[in-house]
Amino acid sequence: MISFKKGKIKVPEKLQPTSANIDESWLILKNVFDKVLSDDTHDISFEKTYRVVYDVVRFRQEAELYNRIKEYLVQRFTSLKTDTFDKNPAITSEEWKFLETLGEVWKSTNIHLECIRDLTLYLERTYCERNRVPGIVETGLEIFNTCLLLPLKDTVNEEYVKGINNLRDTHEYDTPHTEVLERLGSMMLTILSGEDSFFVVFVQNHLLEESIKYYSELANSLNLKSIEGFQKVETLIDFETKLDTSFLTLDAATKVIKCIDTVLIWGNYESIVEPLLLDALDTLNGEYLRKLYSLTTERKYRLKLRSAIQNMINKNLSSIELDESEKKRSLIGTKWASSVISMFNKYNKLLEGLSFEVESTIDNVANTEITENQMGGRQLSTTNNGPDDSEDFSQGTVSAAGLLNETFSNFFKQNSKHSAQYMSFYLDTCLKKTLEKTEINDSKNSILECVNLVRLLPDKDEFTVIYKNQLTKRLIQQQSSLKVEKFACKRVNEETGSFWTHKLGTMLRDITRSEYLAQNFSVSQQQKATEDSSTTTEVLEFVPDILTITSWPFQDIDDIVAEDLILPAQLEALKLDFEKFYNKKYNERTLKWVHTLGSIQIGFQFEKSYHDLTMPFYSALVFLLFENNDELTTEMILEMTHIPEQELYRQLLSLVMSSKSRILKKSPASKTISKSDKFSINYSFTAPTEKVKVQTIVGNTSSRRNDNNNNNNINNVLERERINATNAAIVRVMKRQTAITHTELLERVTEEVKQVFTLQLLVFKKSLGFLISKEYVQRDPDDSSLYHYIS
Amino acid sequence: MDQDNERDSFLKGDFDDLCYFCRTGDVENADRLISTGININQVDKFDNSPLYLASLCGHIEVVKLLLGRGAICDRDRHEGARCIYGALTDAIRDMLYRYDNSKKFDTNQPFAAHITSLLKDEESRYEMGDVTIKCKDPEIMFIAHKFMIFARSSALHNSTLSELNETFSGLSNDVVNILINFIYLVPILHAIPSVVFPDLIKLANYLQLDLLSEFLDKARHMADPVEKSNLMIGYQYKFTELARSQLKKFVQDDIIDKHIDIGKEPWDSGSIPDPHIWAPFPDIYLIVENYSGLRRIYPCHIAMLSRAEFFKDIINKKFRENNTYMTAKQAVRCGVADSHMLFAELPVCDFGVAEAVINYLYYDSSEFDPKHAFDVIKLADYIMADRLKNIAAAVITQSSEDALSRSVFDILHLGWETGVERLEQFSAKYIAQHLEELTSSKELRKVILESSQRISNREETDTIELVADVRFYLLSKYDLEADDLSLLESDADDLEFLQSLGLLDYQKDINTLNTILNNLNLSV
Repeated sequence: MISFKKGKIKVPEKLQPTSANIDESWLILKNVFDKVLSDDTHDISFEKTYRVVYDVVRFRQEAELYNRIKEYLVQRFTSLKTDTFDKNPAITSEEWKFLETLGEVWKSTNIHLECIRDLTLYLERTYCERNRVPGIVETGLEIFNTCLLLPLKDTVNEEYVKGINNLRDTHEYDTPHTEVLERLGSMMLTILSGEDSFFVVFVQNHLLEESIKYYSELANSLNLKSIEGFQKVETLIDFETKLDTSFLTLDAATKVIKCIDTVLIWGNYESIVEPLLLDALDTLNGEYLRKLYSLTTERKYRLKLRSAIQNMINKNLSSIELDESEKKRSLIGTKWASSVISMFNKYNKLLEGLSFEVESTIDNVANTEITENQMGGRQLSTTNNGPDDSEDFSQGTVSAAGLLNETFSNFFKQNSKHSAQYMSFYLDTCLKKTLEKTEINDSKNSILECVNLVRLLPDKDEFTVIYKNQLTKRLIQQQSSLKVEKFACKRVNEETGSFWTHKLGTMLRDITRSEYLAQNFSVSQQQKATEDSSTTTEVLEFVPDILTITSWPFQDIDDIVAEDLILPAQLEALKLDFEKFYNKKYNERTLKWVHTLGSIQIGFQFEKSYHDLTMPFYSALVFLLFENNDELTTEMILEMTHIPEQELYRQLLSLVMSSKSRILKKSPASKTISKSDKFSINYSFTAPTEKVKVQTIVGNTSSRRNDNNNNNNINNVLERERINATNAAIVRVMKRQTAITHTELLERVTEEVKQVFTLQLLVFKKSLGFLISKEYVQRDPDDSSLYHYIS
Repeated sequence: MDQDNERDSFLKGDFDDLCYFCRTGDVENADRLISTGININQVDKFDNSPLYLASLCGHIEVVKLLLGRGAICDRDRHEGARCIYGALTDAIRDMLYRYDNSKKFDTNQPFAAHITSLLKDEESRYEMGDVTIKCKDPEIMFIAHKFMIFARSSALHNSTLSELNETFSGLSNDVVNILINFIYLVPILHAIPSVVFPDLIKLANYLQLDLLSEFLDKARHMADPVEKSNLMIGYQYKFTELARSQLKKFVQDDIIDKHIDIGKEPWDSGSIPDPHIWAPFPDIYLIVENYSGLRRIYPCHIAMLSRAEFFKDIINKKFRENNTYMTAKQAVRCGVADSHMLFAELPVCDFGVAEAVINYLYYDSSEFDPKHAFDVIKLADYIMADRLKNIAAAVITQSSEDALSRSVFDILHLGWETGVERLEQFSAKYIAQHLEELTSSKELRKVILESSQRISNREETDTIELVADVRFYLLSKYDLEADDLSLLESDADDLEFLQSLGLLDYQKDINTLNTILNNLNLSV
C-alpha cells in the first residue's frame, strides 16, 4: 500500500565530479567493447560497466560518449571489412565462401551490438530515449551498412544470386546453405537504405532479373511442349516455391514465383499452354485442367485460359454437322441435338470435377451451388445470368459451369435458325419412345439433359411453339406416355417460364379429362346396348379427345371443321349419343367435331390375311363405303361423303398408291385421280404384321408447300405470341414510369423479355402501334420520341 | 463546461453500453467501444468493472479482449480478487491470473502478482529457486525459494532445511502443491479438493498458518456458492496483506538487521556467513557506501530485487555476474560448498535510502523518511525502477511549503536528471505561483538559461520548455483560459473589468517573466 508521510525533504549535497574524466571512462569502456567484439564477454562485469556509463551520464558527458561509441564502431566495422573481405580476394572464388562469411559476420555483429547496448543500457535509457536519438543497435546497424555492407553491395548481389542458382541447380532446399541465405535475407531486410530495406532497394530487382534469366535458359533446354514437360515445370515451380519461402519474405517469394510462372508458362502461352490445354480437353483429363488452372494465379491468364477452353468447346461444337443424308428434317435435327447434348454432358462432367478457384467469396458460393444443383437449372440461371455477367471483369467470376453455359448459349445464338427446332425434335423423339415402359427411364434422363440446355436457347418461345405443335400431334395420336409428357412439361415450364407454357398444361389436362369422359361414355353405351337388345348393333370403341380450342395450336378451327360430312349411320348414331352425353355433363359448352384429327381402326379380312387397319378419318370413310358397294367412282364417293374435294383426292391417292398400305384398286391405273376413276377393294393386299397403319401420303409438290406452310405457321404464331408478350412488357414498364422516351422504353422492354426471346425491332414497333391504337399509350404531342401511359 | 458535461455523459452512456456488451458477450461491439478510447478500468454504479462482468458471465472472448486492451486485474485490490473468484469457468480464471503473470518481470507488477510469478514462471523459478521440496510421491519435486518459505511461515522460520523436508515428505502431492501455491499467493482456494481438507488443515495448524486454517475451517462447512465465493475473495485479500506484513518483518529482521558493516577499509568476503545456512539465504549482496565513506552489505534476493530492471539485467545478460550467480545457485541447489558470491555496489547514498528501496522492492512499501526522497529517486533511476521514482516524486511534491521554497530549483534539476516529468511540471507550477518572490532570483535565471540550452536536443520545440510551462501555469494561477487573453486587447480601456478578471495581475507576471528573458538575451 502506498501512503505518504508528510515531512521535510532534504536536498543532498551536490556532488562535484570526482571521476568525471571522460577519457578515463572511455578507456575502460573501449577495453570492454574490444572484449565484446572478440567474443570474450564472460569476464566483463555488467555492474561495473553500467556504473561507469552511469557516472559519465551523470556528469553530462552522455553526448560525447555516444559519439565516441559511434566513432569506435565506424573504425571497427571498416577494419572488419578490410580484414575479412578486402584482404582476401579469393573469398569470392570459392562458392558459398563469401556468403557464409558474410552471414557469420552479420550474426556476430548482431550479438556484439546487443552486448554493447546492454552494457550501455543507462545511456540508452536516458540519452537516447529522452533525446530521441537512435539507440545503440540501430546506430550500429546503420554504421554496419555504410562501412561494410554498402561498399560490398555488388558482390553481395552477385554472390547471393549465385547462391540461389546453385541451390536451383542442385535441387535441394533443405541444406545448411539455405540457412545462410535465410540469415542474409533477414540481414538485408533488417538494414534500411533510405525508406526501404537493403533487400528491396538493391537486391530484389537483380534477383528477379537473374531468376528470369536462369529459368529462361532452363526453359530452352526442356521440352515444355508436352504433358511431361509441363509436369517438369510443375516440379520446378514447386521446388522454387519451397526454396523461396524458406528464406525470402512472402512478398519477395511471390514476386519471384510469379516471374518464373511467366517465363516458364505464360510467356509462351500460345506455344505451351494452349496445346496442353487442348490435349487435356481432348483426353478429358480433368486432373490436368485443374493443375493448369491452379498454376494460373494471374487474372489475365485465367481469362486467357478460360477463353481457350471456350474456343476449344466452340470448335468442337461447330464440328457437329447436320447429317444431310437423312431424309427427314426431324431425324437430322434429332441427331444434331443429341450430339450437342452429349457434348454438353461430356464437358460438364469434365469441368464439374474441377474446383476452379474464384476470387471472391460470393463467387465461391455460386460455384458450389452450381455443382450441387447440377439439374436445378433455375438456380443455375439465376447465379450466372448469361454471358454478360461472367464477362464482367470486376466481378471476377471464372466458374466452370458459367463458362460452359456461356459457351453453349453463344453456340445456340449462332445457330438460332434451327437450334430451337432441333432441340424440340430431339425431345419429340425421346418422348415418342416412352410408350415402351423399358425406355421410360432412359427417356426421362434424356429429357432432363435436353431441357437443361433449353434454358440456354436465345429464343425460348420459338422452342415452346414448336414443342407445342409436336405435343399436340403426340397427344392426339397417342404416341407417348402421358405421365412422361407431364414430367417433361413441368421441366419445360420451369425453364421457360409459365407465360409461354401454361397452355401446355391445359392440353395435358384436356387429354386426361378426355380419358375420363371416354370411360364414362363407354359405360353408358354398354348400358344402352343391353337395354336395347333388340338391335344387334355391335358397340363401337370410341375414344374422344375433347380439346379446349384456345389452348391448342390450331389456327382456324372453322377451316378444319367439316359440318356437312356424311357419316355412316353407325358413326352418326355414336356422334349423336356422345353429343347428348356431353351436353348432359357440360350443357354450356359447344362441341365441334374435328374429324381430320381423328383416326379409325377397322378390322378386315383380305384374301390372304386379316388386318387391323388404322387409317385417317377420311380414308376410313371412303373405305367404309365399300361395305355396301363393290365399285365406286370418284364422283360417287364425293357425293356419298361430302369430303372436301382436294382432300378426297389426296386420300384416294394414298389409298391407291401407298406402297405399304394399298388397300384400294383403281381403274384405270394411273398416278392421278380424275372424277370418273373407279375404285374397288384390293383384296389381294397383305402385310407382314396384323396391324397396318394406313398413311396419307403427301405429294411432292404439296409437301414442300406444306412444309413452308408449317414454318410460316410457326412463325406467325411466334410473332403473335411475341407481340402479346411485348405488349405486356411495355405496359409493365410504363405503369411504373408513366412517361418514357422511345430508346429507354426499347431498352427496358428488351431487358424484360430477354429471358425468353431476343426482341426484334419489328415486333416492338408492331406492339407499340397496337397499344397506341388501343389507346393504352399515347405519343407526346410535342416530342414524338416520348410516350405517355394512359391509365 | 456544458460541453464537457455533455461529453462526459456521452462517454458515460458508452461505458454503460460497454458493460452491457460485456454481460452479453458481444465481442464486436465491445471492441468497437473500447477502440473509441473509453476507460475500461472504470466501474459502473454497482461497482462492477467490465472485466468483472465479462468474467462473471463467462464470456472468455470478451475477457481476452479486455485484458489485451489493458484492463487491469489487480490482485492487490479487492476488485481483482473478485474478478478471479467470480469467473464463471476455470478457463477464464486461468486466463485472468495467467495474464496477470504473463509479463515476465514486469517491473511495474504489483506485489501479489510478482510473488505469484516467482512460482508460475518456470524459467525464472528454476534459475532462482534454491530449495527442492519433496512429498510422498518420489517423482514430484517442487522448486521454491528458501527465503520465501521462511518469510511466510513463522513456524518454519526457525527450522532447518532437513526439518522442512521431513515435514513434507509424508504428505500427498496435492496438499504440498496447495500449500506452496498458498505461500506464493496463487489464487487456488476454489480448487482445493474436499479430500485434502483434513490433511491441509493439519498441516496449516502445524505450520501455524493461522489464516489458512481459519479459512479452511469456515469453507469446509459452507455450501452456498455465493457465500463461499465471498469468503474466498475476502480471504485471498487477507492473505495478500498477511504476506506483505510477513515480508515486511522478514526485511526488517533478516535483511536490514543482519547487515554487515565493513567500514572504509578493504574487506574480506570470508567475513560473510555461509548463505546456505544463514537465515536470509541471500543470493545477492548489496554494497552501499554512505556520504561518510562507511560501507554496509545487505543480504538480498534477486527474486525480489528483479522487480527493478537493473537487477533483472544483472543476471539476465550473459556477463560475469550471470556466471557468478548461476554457479552459486547451482552449488546451493546441490548442497555443495562454493565461494561464488554476487555483489552489487550501489551509488553513494545514505543507508536509509538503500533500505527504503529494499523495502519497496520486497513489499511495495513507500514509507520512507521524506528527507531521503531525493536520493530515493536517484537510486531508483539507477536501478531503473520507474514506479518507485514516481512514488518518491509524489512524496517530494507533497512536502511542506517551507522546504519547497528552498529547494524548488533542486527539484527541477532532479526532474531533468532523472527524467521525472512530474517534477518538472511541479517546479514550473511553483515558479508561476511564486513569480513575484523570485523576480530577482539568480537561480531562476540560471535554470531558464539551462532550459534554453536543452532545446538543441529537442527537435520539435522552439520555445524554452520551462518558460512555456511557467506561462501555462500562470494562466491557471489566475484562473484564466487562453481565450481570455484576447480581452486584454479588445477591452484594454476597461481596467476595472480586467482587474476583476485577474488579467492585469497575469500581465504583470508575464511582464516580469519577459523582463527576465530580455535580460538573458533570450527572445521567445
